[in-house]
Amino acid sequence: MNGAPRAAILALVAVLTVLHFVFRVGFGLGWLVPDLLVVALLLAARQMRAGWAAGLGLLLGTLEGAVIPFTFGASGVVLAVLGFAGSRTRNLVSGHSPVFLAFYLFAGKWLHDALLYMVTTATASAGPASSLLLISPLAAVYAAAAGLLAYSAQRTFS
Amino acid sequence: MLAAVFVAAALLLLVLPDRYREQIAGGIRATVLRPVIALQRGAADREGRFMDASTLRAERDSLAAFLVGQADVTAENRELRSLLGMRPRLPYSFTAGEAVRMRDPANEGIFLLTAGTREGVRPGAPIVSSQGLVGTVRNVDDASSVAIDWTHPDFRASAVALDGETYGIVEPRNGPGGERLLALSSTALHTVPKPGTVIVTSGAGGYYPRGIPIGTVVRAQQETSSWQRVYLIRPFVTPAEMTHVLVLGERRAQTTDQDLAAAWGIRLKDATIPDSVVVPVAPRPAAAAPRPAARPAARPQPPRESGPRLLGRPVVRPQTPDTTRQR
Repeated sequence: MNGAPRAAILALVAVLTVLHFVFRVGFGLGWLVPDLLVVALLLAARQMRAGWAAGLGLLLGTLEGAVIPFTFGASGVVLAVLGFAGSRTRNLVSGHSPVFLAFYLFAGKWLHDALLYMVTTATASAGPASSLLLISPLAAVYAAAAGLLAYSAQRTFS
Repeated sequence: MLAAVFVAAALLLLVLPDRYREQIAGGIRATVLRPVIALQRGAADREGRFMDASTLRAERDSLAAFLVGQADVTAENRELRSLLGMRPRLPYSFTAGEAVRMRDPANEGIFLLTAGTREGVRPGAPIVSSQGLVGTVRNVDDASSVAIDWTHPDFRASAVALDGETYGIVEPRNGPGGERLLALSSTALHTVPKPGTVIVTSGAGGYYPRGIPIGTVVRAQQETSSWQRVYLIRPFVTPAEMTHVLVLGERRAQTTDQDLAAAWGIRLKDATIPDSVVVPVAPRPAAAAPRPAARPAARPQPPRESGPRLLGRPVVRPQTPDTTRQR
């Protein structure tokens, strides 16, 4: 993953963000579409400094929170923390094999759902806790698959 | 250092008062995300347009036949009302809208309405359907609104049994087998509504007008405290039926809650609300004037099968099992 040009990373984030909002919100497909916002953040965070990754997370989270008003603010906090943590994983694991990438995306998406649940519980707008064990792992697998595809596409075109 | 600044900014957004957060979110929806919101609105419109042409045609034909049959009745009613010196009955103003679901488990109970301030929707407005109470509007944009239905954890409504004896607050609750129900709590011990009793909004607090049907009593819940009982209520409107809804607007002059309840075929029992909450119930228009001899009190009836006057549903379609209830 390392070494990708900055423009390629920005293009990947932009494309995934647009696709996320168009399909998830615009066409109202919801969870039928993987969480491309988290995928974009996790992929970009590995290429960015921790501070800027947190900033990107805040930006994406604010956008997402705007279409789900009751989680406005919560998404920003969660994605900022996730961006920071994603960037820090470079210090722990420097590999970029597909297996590691899949696990990284899976864990990142699940962590995102868990953090969002915790933050929204504090604001009394969380869903059922069982979704963390039943739905979140499936969503994480879905996001990991989409992330691998996006990463492959990025490497092909860059 | 930079990360700390961004996380602090995110936390600041989180703890901002709701009013400011909604302003910021509304600003983002109106600018950066405007095309996405427009796309969402267009998708909802298209979905409704191509829903089922044959069903729509059948409904239209049935409605036309229904209206022709009602023409004489309407004329007679107008004539009789003028003979009795009664004013024309006007319902609440309302705005029709489509409910667009956000298909995400995290957003359960939240939906987008394809009507906003342009159509006269205001925050806090009650949302109803032909079956009864759906929910309430939370945030309003120019052309759309965000609303919650009765399955949302924040939903609360003051309610009363149709006999006027049992008052309480309804809130979402999971019933046996995970069925989504409502719970009527904070009820007095000395009144026991029977299973099947119709529960309507009480009007207490002024949030929902009095007389909107909510559901029927299923049974008393096991957990009872020493001073109150809790009853499970099966709502009239299932989540699957929340597609085309009405947002109530301002009350028209000289109308009563009785008029609103009559839209669902319900006759409210005149009863005072036994607490000190200010209840903005409209005065009965003919209260000051002598009225014809009162008719014997009608027995409380559940909402008519044929549907209310608000929408009219002359076509009875076979009910499909509601899978969204079992979660």
